[in-house]
Amino acid sequence: MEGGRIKLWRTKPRTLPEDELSRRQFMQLVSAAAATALVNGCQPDPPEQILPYVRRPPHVTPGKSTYYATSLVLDGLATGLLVATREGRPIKVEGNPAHPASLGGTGVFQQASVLQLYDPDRGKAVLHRGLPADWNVLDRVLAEPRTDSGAGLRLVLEPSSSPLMLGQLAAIKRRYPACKLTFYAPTPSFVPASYGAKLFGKAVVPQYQLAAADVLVTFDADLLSHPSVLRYTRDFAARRHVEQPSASMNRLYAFESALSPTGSMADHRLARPAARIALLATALAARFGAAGALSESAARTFEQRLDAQEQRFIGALARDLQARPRGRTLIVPGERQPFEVHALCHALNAQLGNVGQTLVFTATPRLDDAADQDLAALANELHAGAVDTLLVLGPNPSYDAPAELDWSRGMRKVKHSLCAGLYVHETAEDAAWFAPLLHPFETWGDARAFDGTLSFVQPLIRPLYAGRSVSEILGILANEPASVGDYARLRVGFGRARGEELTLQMSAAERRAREAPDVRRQFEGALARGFSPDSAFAAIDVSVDREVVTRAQRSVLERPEEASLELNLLRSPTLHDGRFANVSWLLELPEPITKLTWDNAALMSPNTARKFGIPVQPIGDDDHYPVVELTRAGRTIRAPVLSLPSHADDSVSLWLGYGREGAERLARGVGVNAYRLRSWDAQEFAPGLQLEPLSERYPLAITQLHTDMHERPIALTKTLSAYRAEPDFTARFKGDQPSFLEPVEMPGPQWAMTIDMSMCSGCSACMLACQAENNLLVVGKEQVRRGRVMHWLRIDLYAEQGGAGKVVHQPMLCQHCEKAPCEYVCPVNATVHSPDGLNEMVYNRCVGTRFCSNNCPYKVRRFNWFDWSQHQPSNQGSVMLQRNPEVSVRERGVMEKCTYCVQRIRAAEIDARTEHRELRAGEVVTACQQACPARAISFDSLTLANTQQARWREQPRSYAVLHETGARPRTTYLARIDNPNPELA
Amino acid sequence: MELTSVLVGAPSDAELSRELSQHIEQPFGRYYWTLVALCFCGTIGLFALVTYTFVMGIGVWGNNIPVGWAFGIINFVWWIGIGHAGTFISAILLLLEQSWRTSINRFAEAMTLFAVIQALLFPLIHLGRPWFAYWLVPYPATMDVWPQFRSALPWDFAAVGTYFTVSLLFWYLGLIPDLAVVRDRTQSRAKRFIYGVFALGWRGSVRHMRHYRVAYGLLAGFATPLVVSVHSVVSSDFAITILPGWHSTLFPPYFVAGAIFSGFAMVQTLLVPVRRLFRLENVITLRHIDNIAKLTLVTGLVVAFSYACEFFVAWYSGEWPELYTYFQGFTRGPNHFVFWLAIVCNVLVPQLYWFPAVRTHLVATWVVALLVNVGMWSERFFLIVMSLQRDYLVSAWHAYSPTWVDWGIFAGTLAFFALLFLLFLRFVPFVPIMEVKELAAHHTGGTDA
Repeated sequence: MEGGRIKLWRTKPRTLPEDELSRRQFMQLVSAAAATALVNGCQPDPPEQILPYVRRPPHVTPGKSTYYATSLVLDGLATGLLVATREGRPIKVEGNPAHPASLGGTGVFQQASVLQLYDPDRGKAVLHRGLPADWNVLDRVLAEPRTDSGAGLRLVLEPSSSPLMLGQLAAIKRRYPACKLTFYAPTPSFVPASYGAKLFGKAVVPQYQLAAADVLVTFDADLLSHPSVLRYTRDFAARRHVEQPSASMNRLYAFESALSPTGSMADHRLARPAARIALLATALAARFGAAGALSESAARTFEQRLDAQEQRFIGALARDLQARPRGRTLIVPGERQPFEVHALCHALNAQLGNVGQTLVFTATPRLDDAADQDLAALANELHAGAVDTLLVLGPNPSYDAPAELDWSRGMRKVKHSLCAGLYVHETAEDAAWFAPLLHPFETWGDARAFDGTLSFVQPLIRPLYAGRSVSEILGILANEPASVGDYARLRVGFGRARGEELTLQMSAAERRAREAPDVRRQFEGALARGFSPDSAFAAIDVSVDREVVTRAQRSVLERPEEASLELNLLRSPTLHDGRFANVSWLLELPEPITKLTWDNAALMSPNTARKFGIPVQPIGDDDHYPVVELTRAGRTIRAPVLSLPSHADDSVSLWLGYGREGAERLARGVGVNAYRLRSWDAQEFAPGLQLEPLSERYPLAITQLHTDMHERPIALTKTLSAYRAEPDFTARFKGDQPSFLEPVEMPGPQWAMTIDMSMCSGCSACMLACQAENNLLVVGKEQVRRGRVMHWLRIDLYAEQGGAGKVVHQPMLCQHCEKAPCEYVCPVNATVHSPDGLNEMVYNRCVGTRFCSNNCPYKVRRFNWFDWSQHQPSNQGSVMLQRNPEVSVRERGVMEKCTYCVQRIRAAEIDARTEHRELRAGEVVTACQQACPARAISFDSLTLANTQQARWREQPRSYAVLHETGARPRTTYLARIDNPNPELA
Repeated sequence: MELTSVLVGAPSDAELSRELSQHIEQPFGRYYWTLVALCFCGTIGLFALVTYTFVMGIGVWGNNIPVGWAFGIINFVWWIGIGHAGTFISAILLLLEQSWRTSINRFAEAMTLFAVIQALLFPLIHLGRPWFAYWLVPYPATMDVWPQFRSALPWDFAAVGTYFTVSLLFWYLGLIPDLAVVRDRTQSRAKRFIYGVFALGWRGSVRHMRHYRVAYGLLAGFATPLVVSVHSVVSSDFAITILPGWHSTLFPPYFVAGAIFSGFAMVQTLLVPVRRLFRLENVITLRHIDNIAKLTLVTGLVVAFSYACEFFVAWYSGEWPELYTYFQGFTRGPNHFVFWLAIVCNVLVPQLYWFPAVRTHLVATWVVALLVNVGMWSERFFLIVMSLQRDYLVSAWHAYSPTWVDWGIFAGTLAFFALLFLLFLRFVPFVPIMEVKELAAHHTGGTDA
C-alpha cells in the first residue's frame, strides 16, 4: 500500500492551476491521480500538497454517479452529452436531453467514446523520430519565431466549428500571414456551405425538420445513422409511432445502393448504384419542372434512360408528393452526392413549399471558410518541396488520404513535421514528431452543434497521459502566453463575445477582477447545461437560382453513362472513418444490417456476384466467404464478399476505416483498407472497378446467420391500411395462457418493457449502452465465430425473403418471462424470479450447467466460456477503469443475461425509500432505453397507471414474441407498421 | 446342436474351475500389456484434457449459444445407455430365469460399471464451475439452500448415483463365490491374501448359499426398476424442456429402448473378441451370440418405431418450430450427415439380424454391433446438438462443431473404459464360475456344485 501511495504522488499528471481550484476539480485531481497510478510517469514530484479525502464535498457521494455536461465533436459537429463519473472516473455516456442534437439520445460513437478514453494503446508521450522526447523540447521548437512569415508553414486540422479555434487561427494568421491551413476529414457527414453559396448565393446549409414532413425522400442520405445529429432519428421515429390504427404516419422513399438504417426504415426503397442516384433525382425534379422545362425530345430520351421499375417508382413518388399539401414533404440529398443532386433536391423542396417548413437554411456551424487549400493542393506542395514545417493536428492522412496523393512520401520530405493524435497512428510514423492529443473528456473546448448551438466540452478527468489539446498547440503558434490553459481561453473567448474586456495576457486575478458578474453567471450556467441556450443560428431566407439548377440538370443528363462496375465507399457504421478502429466495443459491434463484426467486406448483389463468377454464398452457417481482388486505378486490395439481395446491382460497397497499420494493437490487421482504392476526384463512388474472383475463402464473424423468419410469428409487420382493416391482428399473440399452476401474488412494482419496432432503425446504440452499463466484455473474432458473443441485448434483423431490402429490426434481450423456462430447469436455484417480476441471475450460485440457455426460447442468455478478462487482452489494462462499479464482472463458468438494469431499479428504490415515497413513473430508465435516439423502448412498472408503457401495451398492435410457448414474457413488442404507397404496393 | 446349447460338452467342476480362472493364474503375453499400456496412456490423456478444461474453462470445447450441451452430454447419455445391458442381463433375465444369461452376466455387469464410470465423469466436467458440482446434491447446507428439485439434473445425479451403487453391489455380490475359487486355487500367498479379503470368507456352506441367494435376488429386484428409471430420468433432462426436438413425452421409453439397444450392441462388440481370445467357445456359445443379436434387433425395432413416432408427432403437432427441427433441422441442417448416419446404423443395419446367418457369423455380427454403437452415439448427437442448433428464434440459430479437446476427451473415455475392461479380464473371473457349474450340473443331471 505504501508503495502505491508513493507512486500516486509521483505520477500526478499535471500541476494544479492555482486560479481555478474548485471542489470538483479537486475531486478530479484526486481520482485522476488514483487512476493514473497505473501509468508510470516521468514527471518530478509536484510542489503542491495533496490532501486526504476526509471531508467530502457536499455534492459528491461515494457510490453515486455525478453527471457532467460535455460534448463529443465528430466532423466538427457537437453532440451534447451527460457523462456519469464515479469517484472521478467517467464510466458512462448519456445524451444531454436539453441539447438540440441529442435530445437525450446517443449513437454508437458517443457510447464508445468513454472506452476510447481508457484505451491503453493511446499515445502517451511525445515522440521524436520514434523515441520518447519531452514536451519542453517540442514546445521550444514550436515556439521558435519564423522569419518567413509562415510561407513554409502548413496546418492540417479536422473540420471544426469551434469559436475558440477560429480565434486562434486568426491569431496565427496575423502572426504568419503566409501560412496555409487545410481542414481534412476523409468521410463527409455535413454538407459544405459552398453548395449553398452556389445554389442560393449565400453560404448556407440545410437543417431538416423531419417531424413536420409527411413524405420524406432521401437520395443516398443516411439520416437515421448520422454520427452527430441524433435528433433526426428522434424526429423521424416520432412520426412512425402509430398510437391508434386511425393515426397517421409519415412515408419514406429511399434511394441508395447499400442498405442503410435509413433504407431499412423506408416504405419504398430503390437500390441503385450511387452514381445513378443523380439521374433519379433529376427524373423526379423533371416531373415537377423544378429545373425548368426540358425540351420534348430531351424529356423522351431521358425517360428512355430509366428502366421500368424506376419509371414506375418515380411516377408514383411524384404523384404522392403532388397530392400532399405544400410544405409537408421533404427531399434530402445525401452528403455523399455531388452538388447537382443537392441543387435539384433543394429546387424541388422550394417548389413543394418545403423551405421554411420541413427544412430551413442557416449559416454553417463549421469553419470550412477558414481553410486556404484542400488536401490535394497541400499534397502537391509537399511533393514540390514547398513546405518546411507541417503540423497535422488530429487527422490521419497517411492512412486515409486517397492513395494517389501519395501522402506518406510527401510528408516524409518535409523537414519539420509534427503529427498530433490520440494514437500513434500511420501519420505519426511519417512525422518527425508525434504529440499525444487529449481525449475530449480530458479537455476544455467548444464546438457548435448542427444547428449552430454553442456547446461546451468539459474535462471529466485529469489527463491520463501527457497529452495536449489542439488548442494548446495552436496557442503556442499564436504566441499566446505559455501559462494560459484551455479553460482561460474558453472563458476569455466567451467573455469577449459578450463585451468583457478580457485578454489572455492578463493574469488570472486580473481577469477575475474585470469579469462581469452576469457574464460569469452565463458562462457557468452554460457549462453546467453543456451548451449556450438560444445560440442556434437563425434561418436565412433563400431563393433558388434557377439558372444553377438548370445547369445542374444539364450536367447530370450530359454525363456519359458508365457501363463499368462502381466502387462505393461508405463510412463504417461502427468504426466511422477509422478513428474508432481500436475501440473493442465497436470492433465487436455487429454492423446494423449484415451483423458483421471484426471485419469489413465487399458488399454486392447476388446478380453482380454471379456476373463476375463469384460463388453466391448467402450468410449462413458456413462462415467462409469467397475472396475477390478489387482493382481500381492500378491499386489492388483483396476483400471477402458478402452477397446481399438488398444491394444495388453493378456496384460494390466497402466500408472505410478498416485495415489499419498504426500502432493500435486491436485495429491492426482488422479488415481491408478501402482507402487504397480511393481517388481524389471521386471520393465517395467511382466507376471503373475491376473485380477478379480468387479461389481462396476467408472466415467472417457474423452474429446473426439467419434472417428468414420461416413463417414464424417473431417480428410482426403490417401495412398501415392493413392495420386499419384488422387492428387486432396480434390478438393471437398476447393475453393469458392456460396454466396448471395457481397464479402467484406478486407484491410491489412489476417491471416490464415494451419496444416499438416501428421506431427502431437498428442503429445499435442500445447495444453499446448495455455493454458500458453492464460491464459486458469483448470476446474477439474467433469466439464470435464460435457463437459466443456476450451482448445481452442484440438487434435481430429479419428480411422479407426475396425482397430487396425490406427488413425489420427487433431488439432482443431477456424477456423476463413470468413463467420463465430457464428457471425451472436450473438445478441449483441460480436463476429465480424476484417479487417485482425480474428474472434474476444469481451469479454466485451458478455452477454453469447451461441448461437454462438450452431452454430459453429467445436464446438471450450468455455464458462465460472463458475468463474473458484474462482471455482477451482487449479487456485488460486501463479499460478496466471504465467498468461500472454497480455491476459485477462475471466469473468464468457462469451464465449471465439482461437484468433490466436491476442496479438502476434498486438505486431508484433506495432513493424513493430515503425520501419516504413511492416510486414514480419514469423514474427507472434502463441503459438501452436511455441511449435509444428513437425512443423506441419504454420501461416502467405495470402497477403504475397512465405510464407511456401502459399506453403502449394497450395498443392493438402490441404482442409477445413466441407467445405460444406460454412463457408469458414481460417484454412485449409493438408490431412494425409500414406506410407504403398503395400505387406501388 | 451348438446353437441351442448354452454350454458345450459336459465339463466337470474341476475343469470349469480351471478353464474359467486360468486367465488369472497364467501370465498374459506382450500383446495384452501393450494394449494395457496404450489404454493407460489414453487414460492419462483423458485426465490431462480434463485438467486443461478445468484450467482454461469450458470454452476449449466447441459448445456455444445456442448449443449449450454437446459432446459432454452426448457422451454421458451414450455411456449410461451402454451401461443398461449389464443390469438388464443380470437382473431382468435372472428374474425371468433365462439360463443363457449365466455365462455372460459378469461380463455385462462389469461393462455396465465401467461405462457408468465414464458417464459419471461428464456431468462433472461439463460444468462451468465444476468445483461447485456438489451443489447438485441435496446435502444439509448451512445456508439452507437446496438443489432446485423441479430441474431434472439433481434427479439425474441421484438416479445415476443409485444405479452405480446398485450395479457395483450386484456385481460384487455375484463375484464373491468366484473370488473364493481363485483364492483357493492360487499358489501365490499375496493373491491368496488379496482374493481372500475380497471373498469375505466365503466357504460355500449352505448357510452362505441361502443368504447369498436371498441377497442376490433382492438386489436383482432393486436393479430391475433401475433399468427403466435411470434412462427415464436421463431422458427428462430433455423431455422437461420446451425445446423442439427435446420436448416429448415419448422420451422415457424411447431412451430406455435405445439404452438397452446400445448396451446389447456393446456387449456383443466386446464378447465376440473375448470369447475368441480366451477360447471360451464352450461356455459362451453361439446361442449367446444369437440371443444378444436377437435382443439387439428387438430393441432396435423399438428405437426405429420411436423415431417414426417422433416424426409423426412433430408433423401432427402442426407447430412450425417442431416441424422445422424434425424435417429440416435434422435432415438438412448443419451436421445432417450425423442424422443420416444414425438412421442407417440404428434402423437399417440391425435389420441384418433378421438373418440367422448374420447373427451367428462372428465377424458379421460384430460389425453390425459396432455400427449400432456408432449409430447410437450419432443419435445422441442429433437429438442433443441438432435440436439446439435450430430452436424457436431464427436469429439465434448457430451451427456446432467440436474442437480437438471434445474429440480427445471422448477418445480418452474409450481408452479409460478399455483399460478398466482389460484389467477386469486379467484380475477377475469374468465368467461366473459358480453359476456355470450349476448350469453344468443342471445339464448333466447332477453332481455337487
